[in-house]
Amino acid sequence: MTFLLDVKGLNVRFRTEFGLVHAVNEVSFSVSKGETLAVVGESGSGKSVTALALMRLLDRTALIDGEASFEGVNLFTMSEKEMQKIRGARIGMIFQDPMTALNPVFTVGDQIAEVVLIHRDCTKQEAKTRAIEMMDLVGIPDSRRRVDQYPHEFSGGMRQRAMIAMAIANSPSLLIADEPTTALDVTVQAQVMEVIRSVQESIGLTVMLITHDLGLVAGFADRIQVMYAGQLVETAERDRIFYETRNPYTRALLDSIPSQLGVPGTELKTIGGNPPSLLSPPPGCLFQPRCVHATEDCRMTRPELKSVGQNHLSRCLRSSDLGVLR
Amino acid sequence: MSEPILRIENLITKYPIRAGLLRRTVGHVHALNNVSIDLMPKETLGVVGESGCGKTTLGRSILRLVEPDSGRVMYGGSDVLTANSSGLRGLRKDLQIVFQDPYASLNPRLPINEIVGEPLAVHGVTKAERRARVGEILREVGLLPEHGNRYPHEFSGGQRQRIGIARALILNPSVLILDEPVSALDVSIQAQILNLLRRIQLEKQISMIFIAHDLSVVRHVSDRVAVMYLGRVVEIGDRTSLYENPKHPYTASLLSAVPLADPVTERSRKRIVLQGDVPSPAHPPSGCEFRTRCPIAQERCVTERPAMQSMEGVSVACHFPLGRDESLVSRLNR
Repeated sequence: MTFLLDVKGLNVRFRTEFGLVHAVNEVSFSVSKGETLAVVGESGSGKSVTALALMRLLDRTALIDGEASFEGVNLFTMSEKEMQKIRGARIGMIFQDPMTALNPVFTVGDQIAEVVLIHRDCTKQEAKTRAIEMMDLVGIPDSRRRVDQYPHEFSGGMRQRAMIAMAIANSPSLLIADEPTTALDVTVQAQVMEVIRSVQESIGLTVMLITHDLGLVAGFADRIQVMYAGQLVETAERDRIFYETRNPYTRALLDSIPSQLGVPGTELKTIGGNPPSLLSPPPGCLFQPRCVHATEDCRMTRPELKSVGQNHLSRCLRSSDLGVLR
Repeated sequence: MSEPILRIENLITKYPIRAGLLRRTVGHVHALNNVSIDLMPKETLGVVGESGCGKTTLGRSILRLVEPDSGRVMYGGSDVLTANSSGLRGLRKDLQIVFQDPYASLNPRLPINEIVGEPLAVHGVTKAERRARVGEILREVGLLPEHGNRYPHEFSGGQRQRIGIARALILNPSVLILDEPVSALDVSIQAQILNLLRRIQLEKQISMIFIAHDLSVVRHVSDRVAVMYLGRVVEIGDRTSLYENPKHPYTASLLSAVPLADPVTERSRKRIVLQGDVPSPAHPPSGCEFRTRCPIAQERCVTERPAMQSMEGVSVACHFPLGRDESLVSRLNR
């Protein structure tokens, strides 16, 4: 099987005045054509940094190593000029905050058309026509009129649709969506997720969805990978993550959501303490200080990501004796 | 049935819309439009709604952090809205608030001792006693008395929210208003704060108004729930009836939009996706405010605003409420 994106041994460290921050550690994963991969984690888990590193959007304080082959080329070794031909053309990206991602002094149509003009040999008029077409595709009503409007005339949900239109205007093969609905209300979130899904079907897009929301993932992802403290801790097909959980962190994360299906008013299971400092990560398992299953060995030995089932990996020393966690 | 501890009657709060060079007032936004809610002793009332529905303004209007234009907020026989400054100081001792953003709501230049002890200083408690009480309350919210000498930047988001809760609790209030207390926190930290609030309520028998946009969190903490839309309460009732058999089409569609962290349930759900956005509160639709997005709106909804009516234990403002065991999906397929 060939992968659209294959990441091997990705490390991202940031130089700070206090020393090196290990934001992403030895992350390897691959995305198959047409699938939706969700990357789940809390703040500081390294999920957004992974995406920004792939897009080469981190600034100079970031030290990146590893390999990321995408459509046969390594994203980390190509020149900036070559990378510009990938960004916005082969890989589209949408960000969390549609309010700040659009330029307030240009019309929405100009901003979508600009993406087309940069990557294609076409006239301004053709680019504008393409912009209108894209706005129709993402469900912006009255696109012929709205193409000439400014971002402030758009609501939050409409701005996020415009961002999606921009990201897919050049028919990329991969869309990276970094918390695309976090700033939106639930009814608008439902609309935007429907747009992403329908676009995915109509142009055969592969989607990498980055989110902290396990609810969103349950209905949307084909495969899930969970990150904690810059490491990948568990990855599997969606239902296995929810029903055959093998990693204690994933289990704890699932248990701490007040579910609409749970019993209200009861004590929630919590994860005690806070994530470790990435400045000087402790030896042993990074989740160990907060883990209810931790043993002496967990304090000393850093666990490897191991196979625990079909396409199912977990980073836990005790995964064979703990079995499926409920 | 016991008397409500806090009675909100016909509360109206307007914000002026200013325009032009002279910033003249050209109109008003009705952030709260005739809101009436009773808060019962020891209960948690959840208030949910999307951005711009007026839920934050409601919390602030009760304490007069914004001045309402009319209505009454009755507490212990007096009206908060007409109290003079000394009367208000006394009332605020009993009515406290915790804010959303634990980063913005603590003064970065003050140590925790002073932040948490400030309400006591306002009420004339001596320095020695303040120190003792602050130490005690920090312990109650899961921090250590030693933390009192540190500054806000030394704490994580979850710990800061604990500090905000300690500040609100130090005067032993009987009503606590929580405005999105966990929405800035990661899920694992959010669960810690929700458990803390639950324990505090059991121990201190406080009444709480819990304002949030997250319906799952509100379901978890609330005894009763009020759903707001464009400045009005559209449905209010006990948690179980409201979540299991919503009467208002807005409540039903809001619930249907919430993704559930359970793939099997997600696959079998029929989701109602509301069209469009919440209209601008500066130009609300005629008749029923929700009619522009309502999948079951009719002629009457355009001309006539629905009044609050009681049915099966909840109150709902809709001309065509959903019946017992009737879902929005089944109504649409009828």
